[in-house]
Amino acid sequence: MTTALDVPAIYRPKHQQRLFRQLLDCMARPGSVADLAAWTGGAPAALAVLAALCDSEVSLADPQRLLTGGDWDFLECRQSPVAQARFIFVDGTTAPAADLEPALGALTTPEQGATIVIRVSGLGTTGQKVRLSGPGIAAQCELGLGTLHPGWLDQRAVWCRFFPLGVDLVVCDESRVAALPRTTRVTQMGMHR
Amino acid sequence: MTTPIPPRSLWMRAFAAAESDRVLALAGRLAIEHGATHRSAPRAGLALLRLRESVMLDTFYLGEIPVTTARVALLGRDGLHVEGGAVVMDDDVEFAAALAVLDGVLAHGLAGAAEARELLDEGLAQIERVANVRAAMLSRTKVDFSLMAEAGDDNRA
Repeated sequence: MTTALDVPAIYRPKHQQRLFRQLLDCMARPGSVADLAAWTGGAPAALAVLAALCDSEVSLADPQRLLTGGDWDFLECRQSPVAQARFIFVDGTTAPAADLEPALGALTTPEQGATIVIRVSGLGTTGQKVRLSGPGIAAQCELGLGTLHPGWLDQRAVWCRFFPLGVDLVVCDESRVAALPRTTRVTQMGMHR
Repeated sequence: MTTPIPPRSLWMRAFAAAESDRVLALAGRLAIEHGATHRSAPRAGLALLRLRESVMLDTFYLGEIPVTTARVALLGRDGLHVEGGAVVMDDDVEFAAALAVLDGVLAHGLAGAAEARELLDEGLAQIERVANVRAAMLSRTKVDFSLMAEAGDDNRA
């Protein structure tokens, strides 16, 4: 029975706990890159992150329609416009849409700022290179953000300019993930070959 | 002559009353035959049993019950996908998925529906047996007060 009707790995509780732990570590240590391949069963890391974060209590926006109907069935979260969504899933290889306005929270409720899960490729090794500093980073560190369009970093600076308001970014490629919480200071360094 | 199939709302109870080893074996085979996949993540846990009281019509929680849900997709005739589902008072995800497979096969008349129907009938017969035993036990607790009235009250004499 189990061989015929396996639940996809990223939706099994034990795998989700592992994925969530990895994500917490990435949030606590911005700039670190975690490889999720051992727990995704071949699913894209971005979908694994959403599976670990979302349930029926939260809202998710998918403005570029990257998710399939089957993904929504498993995620079980509410579909929401970007401005009201707690989580937003986007492709980061193109510049953010001009009308993309995520929730930034309020001074009394900064935790209501959105978490944006961004899909790229070549995370950590190639592409847009940034220098990071701030909480969770000893002095400073460098990170390659793969095919992330620089416009996302410019837009992040705008969204996070009134700390503690802002957004948290989770950047994923096929199997790896890195986090840029709003507390992290990001300096763009150019392209990493 | 076959008897008409009972309403779908009774199927889960009937399948759950049938012999569980046979339910799992048949569902396992049919799941492979029909390329069954989960349509959403099966869930097991405690559900709150809500009840509306009859005076102020307020809803309150009477207690908790174990509930497992499963929803599967099966490859039906002409290559189209059909669905089966199960909501059972149990904490066994595999068993709920097995019931969802049988539900889908029987509801959509897929190959193996006759065997699923046999299990359904067995489950219904088992439910009836249990109901008869309970009815017999209940009937033995009944007291006919009219006989006491006919006999009169000895203390009053």
